[in-house]
Amino acid sequence: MKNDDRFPIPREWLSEEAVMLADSVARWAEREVVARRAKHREDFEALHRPALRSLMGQVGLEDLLWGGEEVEPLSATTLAAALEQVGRADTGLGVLLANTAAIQRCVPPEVRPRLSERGALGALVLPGFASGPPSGTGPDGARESADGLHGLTPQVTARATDGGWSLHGRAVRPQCHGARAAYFGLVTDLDGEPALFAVGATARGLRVGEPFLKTGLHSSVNADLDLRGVAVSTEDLLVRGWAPYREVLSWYYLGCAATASGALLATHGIVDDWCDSRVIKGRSQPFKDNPLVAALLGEIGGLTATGRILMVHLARRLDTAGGADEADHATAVAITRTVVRGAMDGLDRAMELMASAGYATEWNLERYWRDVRTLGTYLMLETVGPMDLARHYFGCGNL
Amino acid sequence: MRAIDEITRPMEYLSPMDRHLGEIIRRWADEEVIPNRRRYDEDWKDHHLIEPAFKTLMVDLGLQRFLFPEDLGGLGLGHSSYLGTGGFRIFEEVARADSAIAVAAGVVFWPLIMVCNEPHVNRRICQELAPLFCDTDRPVFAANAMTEPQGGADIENLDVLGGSTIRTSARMEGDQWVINGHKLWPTNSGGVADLFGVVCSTSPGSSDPRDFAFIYVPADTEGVTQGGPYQKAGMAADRNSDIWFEDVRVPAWYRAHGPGDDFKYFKEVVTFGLMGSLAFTSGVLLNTYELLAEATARLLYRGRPLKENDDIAGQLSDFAATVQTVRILGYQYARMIDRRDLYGMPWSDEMVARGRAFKLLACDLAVKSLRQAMDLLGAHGSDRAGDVEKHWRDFKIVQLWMGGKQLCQMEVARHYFDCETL
Repeated sequence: MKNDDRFPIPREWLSEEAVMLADSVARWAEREVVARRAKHREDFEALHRPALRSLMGQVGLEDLLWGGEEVEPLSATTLAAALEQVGRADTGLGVLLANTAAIQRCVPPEVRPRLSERGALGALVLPGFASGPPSGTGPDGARESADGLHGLTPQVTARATDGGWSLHGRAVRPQCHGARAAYFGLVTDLDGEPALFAVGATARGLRVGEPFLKTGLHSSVNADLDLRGVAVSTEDLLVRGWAPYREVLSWYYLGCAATASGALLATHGIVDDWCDSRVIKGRSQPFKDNPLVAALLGEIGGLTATGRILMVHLARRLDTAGGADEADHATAVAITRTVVRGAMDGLDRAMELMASAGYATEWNLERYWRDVRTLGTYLMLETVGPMDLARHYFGCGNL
Repeated sequence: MRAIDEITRPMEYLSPMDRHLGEIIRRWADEEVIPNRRRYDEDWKDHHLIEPAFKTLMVDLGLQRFLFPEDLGGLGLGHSSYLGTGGFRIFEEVARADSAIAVAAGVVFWPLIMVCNEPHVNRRICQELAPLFCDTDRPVFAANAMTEPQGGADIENLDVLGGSTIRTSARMEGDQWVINGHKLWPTNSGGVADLFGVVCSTSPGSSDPRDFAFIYVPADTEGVTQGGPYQKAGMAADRNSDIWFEDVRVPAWYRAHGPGDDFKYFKEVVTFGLMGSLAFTSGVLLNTYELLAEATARLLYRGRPLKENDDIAGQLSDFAATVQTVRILGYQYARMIDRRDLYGMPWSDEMVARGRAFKLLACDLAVKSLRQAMDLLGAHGSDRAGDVEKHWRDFKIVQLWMGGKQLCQMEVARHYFDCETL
């Protein structure tokens, strides 16, 4: 049975283009990733770089993501359908494309050639927890300086210059692919409002550090950046203000939710295959037919089915409303949090069923388990996410 | 006093050597393991980086001699009335540094429990094995060869299957056992162990406990073949592989005890495995608590340290409650092992069931808490430089081993609810 029949989604919202692209990406996934990963494991150079080249070139995702005079930019539902299939093959590639898509939506046509000269892939640099002693601590323990962007500290600061701004930051950590991205979407604080600047990876004053080790997402090679007075102009300012910034985040979350949904589809496939060849209690009872096992399988199936549906609903919402207002953004946070958390729960349950087979690299399950966990930490959906939701749903104005 | 020493444990249960043992293992952990452990994952195949830490622990600190009687060069823990609580402290401290090192070291004890522990000491086998572990300046490892390709958790499912799924056979020829079979996954396989305790059947297919046999096989015996180590999500310091036994011959007296008693005392092996799992859980949580305390004081959210935010503090309180609960449960179970007069023999069904229940709860709490710890740190949580993610990756297998979570649940249900057909 095909995944679309087993885990149905609102098909009426998917254009013919979306279905065709998803099918095309699914074939790419089997050919370029699934069939080759036993040999190359998580080797970026041997597996992921050629796979990416094929996806962007042969499958045509590069043109589709950029859009252009003859190519309409991808709709949210089409993007979601494609990234779900990418995520099914490799969560890290899905996250990388979610970053790329979120930035590219904001890039005006005249800026594209300059940004894309070294490649098609980009990475977001979002605010996070600052590190170091609080400066100017007040009597209640709070720092006296500005509250940042909803309490988060931009990793990059912008200083006004004659022709624009100069960007500064030390050990700035992108969401992914810092070592290989062609350009970055850097979020900073301009007069209390978020702003997103596009900066090419070869910009003067930008230094890319050595790749660092992380739990998963090895198909994007991440590294910290140092920015020492990187000059940017108004042309590089892609987004300024809360509404367009929320839109960027909403689209990024959609890409991540689609990727996580793909990881759940992959999990279902792995567990399904594994269970087929197992018996339990030495009595030739098929593993699947044991009620305790079945209860966990049911949980995995339910998480996959609901994750998919929610993700497509989010895509539909962004297609119709854009994602800039608070309600859309809150919906994006809520759904992405549910889908990513569901993917992690499903992977945990799958590993509990497969035990050591799930823990070993041979069955590929543990790779998704590490990848989704890494994605979850980067999105901060369990710490900052609830604050975003409370702010919108309960009007908590001081969070 | 370090913050982790303030996590309560029942002080009245502790062995007289608790402080001394704790201090020397913690010093080893802080000096030799913790500064290096984030590089262990790349060393999973060769153990070049890991071996020096093992050498100190097993040889210099004497861990591999602990169970053997004093007159054979051992430290006599096998007849100590603090074997449970003393062992718990040791492996809690080791796991605080690296749970994979803890399991690799702990499993050295596992097959030896069958013959070194009072009241079922097999003196002849102890004498035979003691020089290997006690008269050497290199780390020596042992392994329990249990799991088989066809059965997975069935080997550990003793109450229901009675060993009937064991396909590794032991046939008596003259005064030798001839062993044939294929095992998977033992800790310390992949070329590490010098000695295997092999779970096999003298009559494959039989569920008669008298046909369950536990036989010692030196790893260099002709006919023993070990595969290369598996690559895994974590636990780099613990190597696992396939092992094949093809017409492997060992003396008849290498069987631990004999018909019926091998089956009986093997349950004590399970009990100690559960206690070890609880100690590993506690150690991992203690260190994660240390790491979280440092990071949540350093990272800032809303202009103040992460831990000073009410929402974050709420999650930190959940974590602290888990550490506290797991540590008390673990020491309680270790104490039960020490006080046989009050709680029964360590091979009794009751002790196994209690251990399963404690492990089930502790592992579920720890898996949830470690995931939460990563989330609390944002992108820092999945940074290999931060070590929290290593504990998360390493620990998951603790929840999965010894028959997996589902077998654990079934044994608990059988005991506490008298389920008769599970």
